[in-house]
Amino acid sequence: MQQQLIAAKDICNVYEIEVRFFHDLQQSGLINIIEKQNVEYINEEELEDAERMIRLHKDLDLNAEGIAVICHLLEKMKQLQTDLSNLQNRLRFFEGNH
Amino acid sequence: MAYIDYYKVLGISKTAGTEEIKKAYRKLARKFHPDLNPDDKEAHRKFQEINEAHEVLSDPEKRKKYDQYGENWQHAEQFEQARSRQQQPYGQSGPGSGFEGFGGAGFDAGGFSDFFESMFGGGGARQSRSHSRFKGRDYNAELQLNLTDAYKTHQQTITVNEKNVRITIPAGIENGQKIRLKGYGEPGVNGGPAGDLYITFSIINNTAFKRDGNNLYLTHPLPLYTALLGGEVLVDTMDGKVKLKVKPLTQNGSQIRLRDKGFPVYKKEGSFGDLYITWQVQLPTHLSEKEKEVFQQLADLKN
Repeated sequence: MQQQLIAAKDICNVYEIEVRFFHDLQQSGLINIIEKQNVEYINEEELEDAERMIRLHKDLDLNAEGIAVICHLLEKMKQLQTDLSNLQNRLRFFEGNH
Repeated sequence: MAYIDYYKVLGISKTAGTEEIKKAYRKLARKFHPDLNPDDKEAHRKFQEINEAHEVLSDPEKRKKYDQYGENWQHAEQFEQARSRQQQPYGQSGPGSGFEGFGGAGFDAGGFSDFFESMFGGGGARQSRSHSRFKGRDYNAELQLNLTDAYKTHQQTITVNEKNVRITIPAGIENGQKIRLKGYGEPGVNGGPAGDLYITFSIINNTAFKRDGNNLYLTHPLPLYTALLGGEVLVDTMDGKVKLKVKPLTQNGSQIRLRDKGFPVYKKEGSFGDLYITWQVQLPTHLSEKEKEVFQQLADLKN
């Protein structure tokens, strides 16, 4: 499937942020910037994460390093929630509620 | 519609300066930010509240109006209309003119309370930079399915924002599992792509089977004489009945495994878990005189 690319500057215009912020995110390993004919893009699949990081940056005044810590913890939290959901399903099995 | 004390929401005094307001907002936002509290409705509500308080108190014009009318906010419109009539030459004042100056129309004021809307109007919410959007918002929905429906890949039509969406639900979906339908969320803003639709499945067991992942479990009654002497028993599976051979002297609580008769493996067509049958030997609850006599003979034989 062909990946949909979105120009980084379009996102920056909407959010009124500098492209440098995206470079910081890339350096922290949080997003991938794809360069084609001197234009920087991000994959649409990464847009949701990128927007979350922008919100964290703007609302909470966090830099890329702080955002990296939060993203890591959120990922852990997501994994724990999946584990919890699986365990709840197993518990239902033993409790006899099917 | 109740008056909202924005100072109380941010935990600051009425004399708080710009820096103090910003600091209080940031402190609370760090705690209740929706991106830090996914799926927490209470945190989302709280964040909207502090966001609204910040929206009003950090904007000098809004703050002035808020402070001026305070708990008498319901009369704000009347006061302002009366004032504008006094200040403007007759015939020039139009409906709602008292609410101009807080930002143009067409901004997204979603997420603000009725109190806010009433005081500052729909166009009163200046679109703060942090609330700009590009990709449309995601939608979340919950869909209840019977276990028998989750057993087979099937299609369902769901209504999302008055639009019918036909979705294919793969067999073997798990309780609590979430699937994403790309592009079925809110339309994008400023040329961005549409959000996604997330559907969380809630599976209701409408069968006698118990499910543990892809395996199914069933406790099945076994007549005493079949348990002792062996025989055949008809057992339900998810896709019909099967005839099982029962060995003589089958013990109560013993288990047999029926390979591939369990639940379909999600997105692995033709692959199934197993079905485990636990035998529950049925002891008689009443014996005739003749039966008692025969059982006594059996007991004597053992002794």
